[in-house]
Amino acid sequence: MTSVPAVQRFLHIRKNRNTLNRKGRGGLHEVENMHEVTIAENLLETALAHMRENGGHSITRIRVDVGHLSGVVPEALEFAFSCLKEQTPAETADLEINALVPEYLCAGCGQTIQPAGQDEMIVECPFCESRHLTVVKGYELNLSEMEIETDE
Amino acid sequence: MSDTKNTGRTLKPHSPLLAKNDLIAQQNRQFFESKGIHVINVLSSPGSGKTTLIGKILSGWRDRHRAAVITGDLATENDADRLKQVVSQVVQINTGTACHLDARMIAEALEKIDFSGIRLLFIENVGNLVCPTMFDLGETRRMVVLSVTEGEDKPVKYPGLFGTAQIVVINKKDLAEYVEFDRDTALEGIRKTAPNATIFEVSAKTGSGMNALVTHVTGGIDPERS
Repeated sequence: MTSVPAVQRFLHIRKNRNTLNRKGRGGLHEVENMHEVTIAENLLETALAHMRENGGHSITRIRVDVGHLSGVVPEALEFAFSCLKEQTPAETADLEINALVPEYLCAGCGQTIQPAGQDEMIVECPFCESRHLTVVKGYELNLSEMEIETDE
Repeated sequence: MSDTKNTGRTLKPHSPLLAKNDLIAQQNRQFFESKGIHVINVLSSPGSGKTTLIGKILSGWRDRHRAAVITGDLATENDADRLKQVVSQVVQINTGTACHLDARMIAEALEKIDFSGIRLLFIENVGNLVCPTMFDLGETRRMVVLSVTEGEDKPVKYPGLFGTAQIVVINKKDLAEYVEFDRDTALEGIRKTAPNATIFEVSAKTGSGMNALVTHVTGGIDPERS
Protein backbone atom coordinates (compact mmCIF):
# COMPACT_ATOMS: atom_id res chain seq x y z
CA MET A 1 0.00 0.00 0.00
CA THR A 2 1.01 3.60 -0.51
CA SER A 3 2.91 5.28 2.26
CA VAL A 4 4.01 8.86 2.59
CA PRO A 5 7.73 8.03 2.85
CA ALA A 6 7.46 6.22 -0.49
CA VAL A 7 5.97 9.31 -2.11
CA GLN A 8 8.65 11.41 -0.49
CA ARG A 9 11.32 9.13 -1.91
CA PHE A 10 9.70 9.30 -5.31
CA LEU A 11 9.64 13.07 -5.35
CA HIS A 12 13.22 13.27 -4.28
CA ILE A 13 14.10 10.88 -7.08
CA ARG A 14 11.97 12.80 -9.53
CA LYS A 15 13.74 16.05 -8.78
CA ASN A 16 17.04 14.37 -9.33
CA ARG A 17 15.93 12.36 -12.31
CA ASN A 18 18.21 14.06 -14.78
CA THR A 19 21.19 13.42 -12.57
CA LEU A 20 20.07 9.84 -12.10
CA ASN A 21 19.58 9.35 -15.81
CA ARG A 22 23.04 10.61 -16.50
CA LYS A 23 24.37 8.14 -13.99
CA GLY A 24 22.36 5.46 -15.72
CA ARG A 25 20.51 4.26 -12.64
CA GLY A 26 17.22 2.45 -12.81
CA GLY A 27 14.80 0.49 -10.71
CA LEU A 28 12.64 3.46 -9.76
CA HIS A 29 9.37 1.95 -10.94
CA GLU A 30 8.01 1.28 -7.51
CA VAL A 31 7.92 4.86 -6.36
CA GLU A 32 7.41 6.28 -9.81
CA ASN A 33 4.05 4.57 -10.05
CA MET A 34 2.42 5.43 -6.75
CA HIS A 35 -1.08 6.26 -7.83
CA GLU A 36 -1.38 9.37 -5.63
CA VAL A 37 1.49 10.87 -7.61
CA THR A 38 -0.35 10.24 -10.89
CA ILE A 39 -3.45 11.81 -9.38
CA ALA A 40 -1.51 14.81 -8.01
CA GLU A 41 0.01 15.35 -11.47
CA ASN A 42 -3.45 15.27 -13.04
CA LEU A 43 -4.72 17.66 -10.37
CA LEU A 44 -1.96 20.17 -11.03
CA GLU A 45 -2.39 19.93 -14.79
CA THR A 46 -6.18 20.35 -14.58
CA ALA A 47 -5.96 23.26 -12.15
CA LEU A 48 -3.39 25.09 -14.30
CA ALA A 49 -5.56 24.60 -17.39
CA HIS A 50 -8.56 26.13 -15.61
CA MET A 51 -6.39 28.99 -14.39
CA ARG A 52 -5.18 29.79 -17.91
CA GLU A 53 -8.66 29.49 -19.43
CA ASN A 54 -9.89 32.05 -16.94
CA GLY A 55 -7.03 34.50 -17.44
CA GLY A 56 -5.35 33.85 -14.10
CA HIS A 57 -1.67 34.04 -13.31
CA SER A 58 -1.58 32.10 -10.06
CA ILE A 59 -3.60 29.74 -7.92
CA THR A 60 -4.08 30.39 -4.22
CA ARG A 61 -6.41 27.62 -3.15
CA ILE A 62 -7.53 24.24 -4.48
CA ARG A 63 -10.27 22.06 -3.03
CA VAL A 64 -10.60 18.40 -3.99
CA ASP A 65 -13.30 15.90 -3.14
CA VAL A 66 -11.86 12.53 -2.13
CA GLY A 67 -14.35 9.77 -1.49
CA HIS A 68 -13.50 7.28 1.23
CA LEU A 69 -13.86 4.38 -1.21
CA SER A 70 -11.55 5.84 -3.88
CA GLY A 71 -8.40 4.18 -2.56
CA VAL A 72 -6.62 7.52 -2.36
CA VAL A 73 -4.74 8.32 0.83
CA PRO A 74 -5.29 12.07 1.50
CA GLU A 75 -1.90 12.53 3.20
CA ALA A 76 -0.07 10.96 0.27
CA LEU A 77 -1.97 13.13 -2.20
CA GLU A 78 -1.24 16.25 -0.14
CA PHE A 79 2.44 15.45 0.03
CA ALA A 80 2.77 14.64 -3.65
CA PHE A 81 0.97 17.84 -4.58
CA SER A 82 3.05 20.00 -2.24
CA CYS A 83 6.20 18.88 -4.01
CA LEU A 84 4.87 18.94 -7.56
CA LYS A 85 3.48 22.49 -7.29
CA GLU A 86 6.93 23.99 -6.70
CA GLN A 87 8.01 26.44 -9.39
CA THR A 88 4.56 26.49 -10.97
CA PRO A 89 1.83 29.17 -10.74
CA ALA A 90 0.26 26.93 -8.09
CA GLU A 91 3.31 27.24 -5.85
CA THR A 92 1.48 29.06 -3.06
CA ALA A 93 -1.80 27.17 -3.45
CA ASP A 94 -3.29 25.59 -0.34
CA LEU A 95 -4.73 22.18 -0.97
CA GLU A 96 -7.94 21.43 0.91
CA ILE A 97 -9.10 17.84 0.91
CA ASN A 98 -12.80 17.35 1.34
CA ALA A 99 -13.03 13.75 2.55
CA LEU A 100 -16.43 12.28 1.70
CA VAL A 101 -18.01 9.43 3.64
CA PRO A 102 -19.93 6.82 1.67
CA GLU A 103 -23.63 7.23 1.08
CA TYR A 104 -26.08 4.57 -0.07
CA LEU A 105 -29.42 4.76 -1.86
CA CYS A 106 -32.05 2.18 -1.01
CA ALA A 107 -33.94 0.81 -4.01
CA GLY A 108 -36.69 -0.41 -1.70
CA CYS A 109 -37.79 2.86 -0.11
CA GLY A 110 -35.70 5.53 -1.84
CA GLN A 111 -34.01 6.67 1.38
CA THR A 112 -30.43 7.87 1.40
CA ILE A 113 -28.38 6.24 4.13
CA GLN A 114 -25.10 7.30 5.66
CA PRO A 115 -23.18 4.97 7.94
CA ALA A 116 -22.33 6.25 11.41
CA GLY A 117 -18.58 5.94 10.93
CA GLN A 118 -16.67 6.05 7.66
CA ASP A 119 -15.36 2.54 8.15
CA GLU A 120 -18.79 1.16 8.78
CA MET A 121 -20.68 -0.60 6.07
CA ILE A 122 -24.37 -0.99 5.58
CA VAL A 123 -25.81 -4.20 4.24
CA GLU A 124 -29.46 -3.63 4.98
CA CYS A 125 -31.66 -0.54 4.82
CA PRO A 126 -32.45 0.54 8.40
CA PHE A 127 -35.85 1.83 7.24
CA CYS A 128 -37.28 -0.97 5.09
CA GLU A 129 -34.73 -3.81 5.54
CA SER A 130 -34.16 -4.03 1.79
CA ARG A 131 -30.73 -5.30 0.71
CA HIS A 132 -30.82 -3.50 -2.63
CA LEU A 133 -28.44 -0.69 -1.86
CA THR A 134 -26.29 1.26 -4.28
CA VAL A 135 -23.33 3.41 -3.41
CA VAL A 136 -24.12 6.99 -4.48
CA LYS A 137 -21.18 8.66 -2.76
CA GLY A 138 -17.70 7.50 -1.82
CA TYR A 139 -15.85 7.16 -5.14
CA GLU A 140 -15.36 10.90 -5.75
CA LEU A 141 -12.07 12.21 -7.04
CA ASN A 142 -12.75 15.74 -8.28
CA LEU A 143 -11.25 19.19 -8.39
CA SER A 144 -14.31 20.91 -6.95
CA GLU A 145 -13.24 24.49 -6.31
CA MET A 146 -10.24 26.74 -6.74
CA GLU A 147 -9.21 30.34 -6.31
CA ILE A 148 -7.08 32.14 -8.84
CA GLU A 149 -5.45 35.55 -9.04
CA THR A 150 -5.97 37.66 -12.15
CA ASP A 151 -4.49 41.03 -13.15
CA GLU A 152 -7.60 43.13 -12.90
CA MET B 1 4.58 41.76 -8.56
CA SER B 2 4.02 44.66 -6.13
CA ASP B 3 2.88 46.95 -8.95
CA THR B 4 0.27 44.53 -10.21
CA LYS B 5 -3.16 44.80 -8.78
CA ASN B 6 -4.38 41.29 -8.13
CA THR B 7 -7.97 40.22 -8.12
CA GLY B 8 -9.07 36.91 -6.67
CA ARG B 9 -11.64 34.76 -8.41
CA THR B 10 -13.29 31.54 -7.36
CA LEU B 11 -13.83 28.79 -9.93
CA LYS B 12 -15.97 25.70 -9.44
CA PRO B 13 -14.78 23.33 -12.14
CA HIS B 14 -15.91 19.98 -10.67
CA SER B 15 -13.35 18.26 -12.90
CA PRO B 16 -12.75 14.56 -12.38
CA LEU B 17 -9.06 14.02 -11.62
CA LEU B 18 -8.82 10.88 -13.70
CA ALA B 19 -10.58 12.40 -16.71
CA LYS B 20 -7.69 11.46 -19.00
CA ASN B 21 -7.70 7.83 -17.90
CA ASP B 22 -11.51 7.73 -18.10
CA LEU B 23 -11.39 9.03 -21.68
CA ILE B 24 -8.93 6.36 -22.83
CA ALA B 25 -10.90 3.70 -20.93
CA GLN B 26 -14.00 4.81 -22.80
CA GLN B 27 -12.15 4.46 -26.12
CA ASN B 28 -11.02 0.97 -25.08
CA ARG B 29 -14.61 0.11 -24.16
CA GLN B 30 -15.90 1.31 -27.53
CA PHE B 31 -13.28 -0.80 -29.26
CA PHE B 32 -14.28 -3.90 -27.26
CA GLU B 33 -17.98 -3.31 -27.88
CA SER B 34 -17.49 -2.80 -31.60
CA LYS B 35 -15.67 -6.13 -31.81
CA GLY B 36 -18.04 -7.95 -29.45
CA ILE B 37 -15.32 -8.73 -26.93
CA HIS B 38 -16.17 -9.43 -23.30
CA VAL B 39 -13.43 -8.08 -21.02
CA ILE B 40 -12.81 -9.13 -17.43
CA ASN B 41 -10.48 -7.13 -15.20
CA VAL B 42 -9.13 -9.52 -12.54
CA LEU B 43 -8.03 -7.96 -9.25
CA SER B 44 -6.64 -9.33 -6.00
CA SER B 45 -3.78 -9.24 -3.51
CA PRO B 46 -0.48 -10.72 -4.68
CA GLY B 47 -0.43 -14.50 -4.42
CA SER B 48 -4.17 -15.12 -4.43
CA GLY B 49 -3.83 -17.31 -7.52
CA LYS B 50 -5.04 -15.02 -10.32
CA THR B 51 -2.87 -16.61 -12.99
CA THR B 52 -3.88 -20.18 -12.11
CA LEU B 53 -7.52 -19.16 -11.87
CA ILE B 54 -7.53 -17.49 -15.30
CA GLY B 55 -5.74 -20.53 -16.77
CA LYS B 56 -8.28 -22.90 -15.25
CA ILE B 57 -11.30 -20.86 -16.35
CA LEU B 58 -9.96 -20.89 -19.89
CA SER B 59 -9.08 -24.61 -19.79
CA GLY B 60 -12.71 -25.22 -18.93
CA TRP B 61 -14.04 -23.21 -21.85
CA ARG B 62 -14.66 -25.11 -25.06
CA ASP B 63 -14.00 -22.00 -27.17
CA ARG B 64 -10.77 -21.05 -25.45
CA HIS B 65 -9.06 -20.44 -28.79
CA ARG B 66 -11.25 -17.32 -28.83
CA ALA B 67 -9.62 -15.89 -25.69
CA ALA B 68 -6.63 -13.67 -25.04
CA VAL B 69 -4.93 -12.52 -21.84
CA ILE B 70 -3.18 -9.29 -20.94
CA THR B 71 -1.21 -9.65 -17.76
CA GLY B 72 0.44 -6.99 -15.65
CA ASP B 73 1.56 -9.44 -13.04
CA LEU B 74 3.67 -12.33 -14.21
CA ALA B 75 6.16 -13.30 -11.57
CA THR B 76 7.75 -16.26 -13.27
CA GLU B 77 8.14 -17.83 -16.67
CA ASN B 78 6.17 -20.81 -15.36
CA ASP B 79 3.07 -18.66 -15.12
CA ALA B 80 3.48 -17.36 -18.66
CA ASP B 81 4.06 -20.86 -19.98
CA ARG B 82 1.04 -22.19 -18.15
CA LEU B 83 -1.18 -19.51 -19.68
CA LYS B 84 0.34 -20.03 -23.11
CA GLN B 85 -0.53 -23.71 -22.95
CA VAL B 86 -4.16 -22.70 -22.75
CA VAL B 87 -4.35 -19.61 -24.96
CA SER B 88 -2.06 -18.60 -27.77
CA GLN B 89 -2.20 -14.87 -27.19
CA VAL B 90 -0.73 -13.73 -23.89
CA VAL B 91 0.57 -10.18 -23.72
CA GLN B 92 2.63 -9.16 -20.75
CA ILE B 93 2.68 -5.51 -19.77
CA ASN B 94 6.01 -4.52 -18.41
CA THR B 95 4.96 -2.57 -15.35
CA GLY B 96 8.06 -3.11 -13.26
CA THR B 97 6.51 -3.04 -9.83
CA ALA B 98 3.77 -0.52 -10.62
CA CYS B 99 0.81 -0.51 -8.28
CA HIS B 100 -1.91 -0.63 -10.95
CA LEU B 101 -2.64 -0.87 -14.65
CA ASP B 102 -4.10 2.16 -16.39
CA ALA B 103 -6.18 2.56 -19.53
CA ARG B 104 -3.25 3.76 -21.64
CA MET B 105 -1.21 0.64 -20.86
CA ILE B 106 -4.17 -1.43 -22.04
CA ALA B 107 -4.60 0.67 -25.20
CA GLU B 108 -0.94 0.01 -26.03
CA ALA B 109 -1.21 -3.71 -25.27
CA LEU B 110 -4.24 -4.02 -27.56
CA GLU B 111 -2.00 -3.27 -30.53
CA LYS B 112 -0.11 -6.50 -29.85
CA ILE B 113 -3.18 -8.73 -30.05
CA ASP B 114 -4.76 -10.17 -33.17
CA PHE B 115 -8.44 -9.81 -32.33
CA SER B 116 -9.86 -11.80 -35.23
CA GLY B 117 -12.17 -14.35 -33.66
CA ILE B 118 -11.43 -13.20 -30.10
CA ARG B 119 -14.49 -13.00 -27.85
CA LEU B 120 -13.06 -12.96 -24.35
CA LEU B 121 -10.19 -10.97 -22.92
CA PHE B 122 -8.85 -11.37 -19.40
CA ILE B 123 -6.83 -8.53 -17.94
CA GLU B 124 -4.79 -9.70 -14.98
CA ASN B 125 -4.20 -6.56 -12.95
CA VAL B 126 -1.28 -5.92 -10.62
CA GLY B 127 -1.69 -7.62 -7.24
CA ASN B 128 -3.07 -4.76 -5.16
CA LEU B 129 -6.40 -4.09 -3.44
CA VAL B 130 -6.19 -0.29 -3.26
CA CYS B 131 -4.51 1.47 -6.14
CA PRO B 132 -6.43 -0.06 -9.08
CA THR B 133 -9.83 0.94 -7.61
CA MET B 134 -10.31 4.16 -9.59
CA PHE B 135 -8.51 3.16 -12.78
CA ASP B 136 -11.12 2.10 -15.30
CA LEU B 137 -9.53 0.06 -18.10
CA GLY B 138 -12.63 -0.21 -20.28
CA GLU B 139 -13.55 -3.65 -18.93
CA THR B 140 -17.01 -5.20 -19.11
CA ARG B 141 -16.82 -6.70 -15.63
CA ARG B 142 -14.53 -6.75 -12.62
CA MET B 143 -13.65 -9.97 -10.88
CA VAL B 144 -12.09 -9.69 -7.43
CA VAL B 145 -10.29 -12.77 -6.10
CA LEU B 146 -9.80 -13.50 -2.43
CA SER B 147 -7.91 -16.59 -1.29
CA VAL B 148 -8.69 -18.29 2.01
CA THR B 149 -5.08 -17.95 3.15
CA GLU B 150 -5.42 -14.16 3.22
CA GLY B 151 -8.05 -14.23 5.95
CA GLU B 152 -11.77 -13.63 6.00
CA ASP B 153 -11.64 -9.92 6.80
CA LYS B 154 -10.16 -8.73 3.46
CA PRO B 155 -13.49 -7.49 2.01
CA VAL B 156 -14.26 -5.18 4.94
CA LYS B 157 -10.67 -3.96 4.99
CA TYR B 158 -10.82 -3.02 1.31
CA PRO B 159 -14.46 -2.01 0.73
CA GLY B 160 -13.59 0.39 -2.10
CA LEU B 161 -12.22 -2.23 -4.45
CA PHE B 162 -14.68 -4.98 -3.47
CA GLY B 163 -17.50 -2.50 -4.09
CA THR B 164 -16.55 -2.29 -7.77
CA ALA B 165 -16.80 -6.07 -8.35
CA GLN B 166 -19.48 -7.87 -10.32
CA ILE B 167 -17.86 -11.22 -9.55
CA VAL B 168 -16.09 -12.20 -6.33
CA VAL B 169 -14.18 -15.48 -6.20
CA ILE B 170 -13.04 -17.14 -2.98
CA ASN B 171 -10.08 -19.23 -4.12
CA LYS B 172 -7.99 -22.03 -2.56
CA LYS B 173 -10.98 -23.41 -0.70
CA ASP B 174 -9.13 -26.74 -0.44
CA LEU B 175 -6.91 -25.02 2.14
CA ALA B 176 -9.74 -23.49 4.17
CA GLU B 177 -9.68 -26.03 6.99
CA TYR B 178 -5.91 -25.78 7.46
CA VAL B 179 -5.93 -22.01 7.85
CA GLU B 180 -9.18 -21.96 9.89
CA PHE B 181 -10.87 -19.75 7.33
CA ASP B 182 -14.10 -18.31 8.70
CA ARG B 183 -16.36 -18.74 5.69
CA ASP B 184 -19.46 -17.06 7.16
CA THR B 185 -17.54 -13.91 8.07
CA ALA B 186 -16.00 -13.76 4.59
CA LEU B 187 -19.36 -14.19 2.85
CA GLU B 188 -21.00 -11.56 5.07
CA GLY B 189 -18.11 -9.18 4.35
CA ILE B 190 -18.49 -9.70 0.62
CA ARG B 191 -22.25 -9.19 0.74
CA LYS B 192 -21.73 -5.96 2.65
CA THR B 193 -19.03 -4.53 0.45
CA ALA B 194 -20.10 -5.94 -2.92
CA PRO B 195 -23.88 -6.35 -2.60
CA ASN B 196 -24.41 -6.82 -6.33
CA ALA B 197 -21.61 -9.29 -6.98
CA THR B 198 -22.06 -12.97 -7.75
CA ILE B 199 -19.94 -15.03 -5.35
CA PHE B 200 -18.08 -18.25 -6.23
CA GLU B 201 -16.11 -20.53 -3.93
CA VAL B 202 -13.50 -22.53 -5.79
CA SER B 203 -10.17 -24.26 -5.73
CA ALA B 204 -8.47 -23.50 -9.03
CA LYS B 205 -5.90 -26.15 -8.09
CA THR B 206 -8.27 -29.08 -7.53
CA GLY B 207 -10.95 -27.78 -9.90
CA SER B 208 -13.62 -27.81 -7.22
CA GLY B 209 -16.39 -25.29 -7.90
CA MET B 210 -14.84 -24.26 -11.22
CA ASN B 211 -17.64 -25.41 -13.52
CA ALA B 212 -20.12 -22.88 -12.18
CA LEU B 213 -17.57 -20.09 -12.48
CA VAL B 214 -16.66 -21.04 -16.06
CA THR B 215 -20.34 -21.11 -17.02
CA HIS B 216 -20.95 -17.75 -15.39
CA VAL B 217 -17.95 -16.06 -17.01
CA THR B 218 -18.40 -17.47 -20.51
CA GLY B 219 -22.16 -18.01 -20.50
CA GLY B 220 -23.23 -14.93 -22.44
CA ILE B 221 -20.50 -15.16 -25.05
CA ASP B 222 -21.53 -16.09 -28.56
CA PRO B 223 -18.42 -17.53 -30.23
CA GLU B 224 -19.88 -17.30 -33.71
CA ARG B 225 -20.59 -13.59 -33.69
CA SER B 226 -18.37 -11.88 -36.19
